[in-house]
Amino acid sequence: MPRELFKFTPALEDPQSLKIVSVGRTLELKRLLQAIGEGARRKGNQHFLLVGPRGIGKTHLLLLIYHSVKGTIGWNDLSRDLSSSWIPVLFAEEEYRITSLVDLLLEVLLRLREEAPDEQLVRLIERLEQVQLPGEEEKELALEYLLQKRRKEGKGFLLLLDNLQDMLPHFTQEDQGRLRDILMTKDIFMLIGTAPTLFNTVIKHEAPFYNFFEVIWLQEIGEEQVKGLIERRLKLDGRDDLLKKLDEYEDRLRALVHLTGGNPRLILSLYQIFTASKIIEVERDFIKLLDEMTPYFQDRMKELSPQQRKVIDAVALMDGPATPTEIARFARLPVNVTNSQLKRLKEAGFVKAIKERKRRETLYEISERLFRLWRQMRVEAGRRRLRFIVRFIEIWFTPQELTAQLEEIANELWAALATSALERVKDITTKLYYIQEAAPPSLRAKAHLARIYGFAKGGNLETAIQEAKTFLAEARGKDDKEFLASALWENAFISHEQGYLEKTLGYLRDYLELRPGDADVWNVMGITYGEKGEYDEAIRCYRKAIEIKPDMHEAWNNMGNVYTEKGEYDEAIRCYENAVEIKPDAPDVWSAMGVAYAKKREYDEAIRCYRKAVEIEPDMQDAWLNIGNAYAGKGEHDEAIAAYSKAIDLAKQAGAMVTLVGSFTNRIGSYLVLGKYSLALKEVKRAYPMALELNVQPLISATAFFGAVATLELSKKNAIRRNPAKAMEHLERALSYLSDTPAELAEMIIGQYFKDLLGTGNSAFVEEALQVIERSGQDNLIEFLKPYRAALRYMKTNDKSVLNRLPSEIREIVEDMVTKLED
Amino acid sequence: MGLPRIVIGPPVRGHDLWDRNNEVAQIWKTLNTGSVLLSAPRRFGKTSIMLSLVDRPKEGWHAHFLDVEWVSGPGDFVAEITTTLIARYGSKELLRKVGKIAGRALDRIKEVEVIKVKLALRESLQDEWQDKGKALIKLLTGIEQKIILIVDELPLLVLNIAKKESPEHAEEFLFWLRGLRNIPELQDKVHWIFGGSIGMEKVLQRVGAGTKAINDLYMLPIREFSDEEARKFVRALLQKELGTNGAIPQLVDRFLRVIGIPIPYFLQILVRESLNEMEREGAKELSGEIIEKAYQDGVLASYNRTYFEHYYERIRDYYDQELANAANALLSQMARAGSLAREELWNLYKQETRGKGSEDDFSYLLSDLENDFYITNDTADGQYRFATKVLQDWWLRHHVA
Repeated sequence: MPRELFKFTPALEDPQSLKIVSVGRTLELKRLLQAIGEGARRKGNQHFLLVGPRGIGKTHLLLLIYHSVKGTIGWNDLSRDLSSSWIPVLFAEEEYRITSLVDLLLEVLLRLREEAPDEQLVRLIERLEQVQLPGEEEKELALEYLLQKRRKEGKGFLLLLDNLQDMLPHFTQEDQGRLRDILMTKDIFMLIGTAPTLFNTVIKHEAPFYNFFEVIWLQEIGEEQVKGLIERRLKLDGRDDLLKKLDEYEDRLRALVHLTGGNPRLILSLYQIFTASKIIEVERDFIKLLDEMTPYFQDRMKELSPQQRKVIDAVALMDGPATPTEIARFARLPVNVTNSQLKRLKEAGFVKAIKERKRRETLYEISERLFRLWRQMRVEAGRRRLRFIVRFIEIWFTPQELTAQLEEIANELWAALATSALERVKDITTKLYYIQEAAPPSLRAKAHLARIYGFAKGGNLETAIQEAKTFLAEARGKDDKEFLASALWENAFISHEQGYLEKTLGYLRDYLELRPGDADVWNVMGITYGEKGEYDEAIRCYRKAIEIKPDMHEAWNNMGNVYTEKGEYDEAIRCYENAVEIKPDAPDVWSAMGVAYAKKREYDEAIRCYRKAVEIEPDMQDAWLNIGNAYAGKGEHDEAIAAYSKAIDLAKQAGAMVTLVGSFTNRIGSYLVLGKYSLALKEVKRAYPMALELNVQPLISATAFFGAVATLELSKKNAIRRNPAKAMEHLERALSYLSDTPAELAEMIIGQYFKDLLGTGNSAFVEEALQVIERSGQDNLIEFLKPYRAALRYMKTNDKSVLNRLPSEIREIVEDMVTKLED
Repeated sequence: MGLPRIVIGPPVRGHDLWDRNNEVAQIWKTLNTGSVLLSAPRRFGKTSIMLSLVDRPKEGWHAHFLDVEWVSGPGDFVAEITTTLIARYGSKELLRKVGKIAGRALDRIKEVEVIKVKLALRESLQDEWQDKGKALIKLLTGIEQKIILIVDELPLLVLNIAKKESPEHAEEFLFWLRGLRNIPELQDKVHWIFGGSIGMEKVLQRVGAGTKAINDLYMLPIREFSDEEARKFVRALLQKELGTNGAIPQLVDRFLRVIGIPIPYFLQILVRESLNEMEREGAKELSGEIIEKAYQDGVLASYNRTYFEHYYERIRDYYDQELANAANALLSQMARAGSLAREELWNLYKQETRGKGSEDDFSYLLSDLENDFYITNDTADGQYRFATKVLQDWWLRHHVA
């Protein structure tokens, strides 16, 4: 994994790494170190201004100097012993605090305090920090200290000031003059500054720093040096795999140089893409950089006349170097006007002329690559992403490599979706955009589809819909059937995601008109019909798929499912058998076949199928649940319980709550059948709250029902054993379960409960039980139990008039009850 | 004598200052009887010469250098001078005297706290700087050595005063300075050297002072090197950089031929660009072709426009539209032709001004251009040409259609 590049903050890179990846600046470094060395031996210093576009390596060079003078890194003889003559003081890229000479001097003191504090310095800084608005006195005090230090230690201060154009112009004219005076006559400082261009403070004749600096222009690095840079970076990052192939990359390197203009920063950014696929990170960093540079570039644009701006814009937005005629056309300006503005822009350093062999005319392009990216970004903001990155991917990766990348990214996407890492999904869809845009047509549709999928499944359905629509519109405008088919397929997917099944079918039909031999799509159409409940149509589609591709086990399986829905289990089983013949290790199919057999009550066959499923996939908890159900269907409840227990364990591990509660519930049922009421009740106490939490009604009803059965049985037993307190306790618990039990079932079991109780002759308990229910407020039960109340009264008094006073339908029930009891 | 470095921009010291012995000798000679005004365009070495006097004064003399470009007014000017002197000669007695003049009790300030003295003086000298200033300068008579006060960028200071206060104040300041120079007890003690990169005459004109303000000064122009010294200089630079002992004479001559008038600054730039070109090409030796290429693609390249562009911009800034157009036309034609007679220039001028410009205006313009070192009048043939070949080449490349 490549180390972080810190390409935008070279100060964070360690010195040795800075040295290792330094290319193309040997001359400049040599010149500077020589001058620094000479400055130590003689009076009067040369001061320098390093000028070059953003990303050309100015800060890098400044840092190399800093570390060379400090002694952290060495450059042959040149940097030896410089630390004995100079104290380097580095001011990194943004120093917004320094807007005056006194600010600068104070900052120098603060840096010195960090590196080598002495008592006098500490006291001085303490004193100065107490002054809210430092002025003349503080300036002179700071200067005096530095002078004294210089005299005492014999070391000068090497001021390394990045982005001098941001600092110096803010100084008053007086401060500028004073600084110049200090630099000229006091012999304590040597100044090396950087700037992206020359600026008025050093250009204007009347300005104090007019022609004061030796200007070193940092040019773009050439092909050899680019190769060198990448080679060194690869070595540093331990990428031997790519290092070996570097010679094969000649053409790509050439194209890279052309694309980046030999700008090291851009090159290192793109390096991250081809070494670590960090498209998102690079995009983010670029956008951040370009945003930060907006004020600077806006200022530069302000320097231009409206016509010049038009010309610059045209050059920036065109795809590469262009002739004046081409530029004029793009800018919608007369050619002669364009020509004359180009000349001026060239003078001012905005554009540069390129003379290509075999071409008579001169071509022009933007001098500063980052400016071009900035314009493109500003103009295309929100509509397209960074074209620059697209271009890079186009030139760097072969179609085969892009295909491999796409596969890798698609896998990343599936993995992210599987874990619901939605932020990651978002990043991946961005990556896919670049692959899609850079890919050849054959791959583009695949990349687009993956993106659509990522959007839809990643919670961004609206974007997916929009993109799919646009893609389809584009496809309809092209004379390319393959492209159109891809777009239709995408839209079918999106419609399906939205739940528009008819619309989905429409797109699929259109697709199949273009590609009637696509078995997969017939299969999908079958699924869609199945979701609509149009089973016959679904079957027709599956048959078509199988006709085209006889070994399509998915179609056989799906057809089987449809037959199961229709209740045609034999047909279903036949289909499943065909599926497993093609793909024997498909646990889903075996399980589905088991279900079909179970529906036919052929439980042995069902169990056989389920066992096959779990043989292939031992953790298939639904299959284990079904095994349990099948055994329960056979009346073999001990085996059923064992299977349910397995299902419960697996479901717990997988967090499959529905299966878990279902398995619990069914196991309770088996316990009840086996008369293990206490065990059943214990399970109910676990399962019932889970069912409530899941809020799945059938499970709630089932567990409640079983809970009611278990508790009523226990209540009855205790009543028979003359343990009324316990019996009552169970009855009350039963009431809570009865409230969630379906009414019919509740009436059935409570009715049976009272019948059984009446049969015991324990009328006192029955009376009490009736009262409990009458107090419970469950009106349906109270109403239902009226006959039982009457029966009880009759049995107590043996008074036929009790019966005579009852409504006829209730009287019948009571008489029947009494008769049965007497029997 | 040590070999000089290539130093582009700031003034040079010690061995880096080449061949100014005559000028230095001339200055010393003049200082015996008066004060000096050094005149030359920027980059001719005035400040370097001034600093050499500070570094190696004659016995019995002390020289103090003041860059007054950043000084905001006469009071600050006096404060600067006084503080410099206190820093050098400070004693309790001197401090007491200074304090008495300034109306501040300065003798309580510790000797090292020169800053406090400066600030106190600045405040005190805001008003009555004329009398107080005179009195303060007069204190120099108490010093044993002879004093040279070297004031660099005086024209800029005068312009600053004119801008911040008024042209009248600037004029007043100039005449006050003149007055100082004429104080009998100071005449033998305190000598002045003034320097300025923009023409003093022009500044005087702008503030309405006239030449009387400076007519007591000995005007010493700083010229380019002699050919012989220029050759030695280039040879020394090459020896320093390349380690060769005696660069081929033809190569040295090539440098001079390419640059034209041997101005040290441009010679250094050309040597620097030639060395850069050598490195770029990976050449082991310097050649005439490299020097030419360095000149055409380096010295005259648009990325080095700071060397010359101000010449073009100054015309735009200092003259009104019509006069600026006329000046540009004259210079462009001169760049094309190489040299022009006065008559030809006059005809061109009339054409540009559509007959409206007078001969007086034309003369002033020519005189301005001469004083500002654009052009020179060769007395031998009466022709006007660019003051430097470099400037001509530049103009031809970048400003002639």
